[in-house]
Amino acid sequence: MMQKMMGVTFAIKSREAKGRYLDSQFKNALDKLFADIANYRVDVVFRKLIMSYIALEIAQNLGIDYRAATEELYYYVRKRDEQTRASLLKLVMSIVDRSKYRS
Amino acid sequence: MANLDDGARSSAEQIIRAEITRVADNPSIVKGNGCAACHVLFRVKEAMQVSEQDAADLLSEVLLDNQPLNDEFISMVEQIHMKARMMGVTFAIKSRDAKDRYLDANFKNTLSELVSDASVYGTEIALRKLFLSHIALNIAQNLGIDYHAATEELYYYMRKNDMQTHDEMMQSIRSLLTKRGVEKP
Repeated sequence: MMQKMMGVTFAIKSREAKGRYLDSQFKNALDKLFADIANYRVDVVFRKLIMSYIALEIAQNLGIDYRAATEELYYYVRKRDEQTRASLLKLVMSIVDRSKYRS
Repeated sequence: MANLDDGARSSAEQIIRAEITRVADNPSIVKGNGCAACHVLFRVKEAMQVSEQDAADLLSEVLLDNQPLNDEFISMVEQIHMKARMMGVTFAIKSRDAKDRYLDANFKNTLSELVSDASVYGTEIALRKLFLSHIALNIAQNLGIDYHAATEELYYYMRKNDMQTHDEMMQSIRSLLTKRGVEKP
């Protein structure tokens, strides 16, 4: 961070302050997911997580930023709306059905 | 929530088309390392006086219904984010068909990897992977650091608070898996 001049305001904090920041980020992210789980269907929450995960993979594989990767992914998904929706749902069902909590 | 009727969609379509042309004519409108897609999104939001969420819905619906505009939109994104910034140029210079094949392979591979993780290691492990990647991505975006550094910061924090983070994570995973209501394929 310091050498590449990225996130310097975080890098210069004390380790304790960084710990508190990460703690709040961790809890906030889980809380947001909790809210999504409470407000939307399971497949909607899964879809959000999986789409963000695929976009991240594309960004890493192509060496492009996450925004561009997200747009490329959504372009592709829009073009194959039915097919990609079915694939995602199939994956969600396959993961959910394997869960020991759903017996 | 605003009324996103046909009239709103038609107005949004005109705004999106005009903004894509404006950015193509003068790419410096998207300042610094700004996001071209967000630029169009916020233009829709300002011009139509709707919330960010409604603007995102409108943009998504207009592009879904209008393939030529969808093509123009992604070309603009590639021009700004890849060609102008010299990132992922080997992808950017491919034909649209080749790009689509690449995206198709990435999409299918990632889904297969997740299914494989779920069947080999269990549902909770596959979900933990998704949750951690989501949190690390949030940290990277909020701090403006790269994803690798964000992942390391997150893992450092989790190693330090092993039991507590494990319990919180498992509670979220359980709550997701026990919730009923999945749209049948």
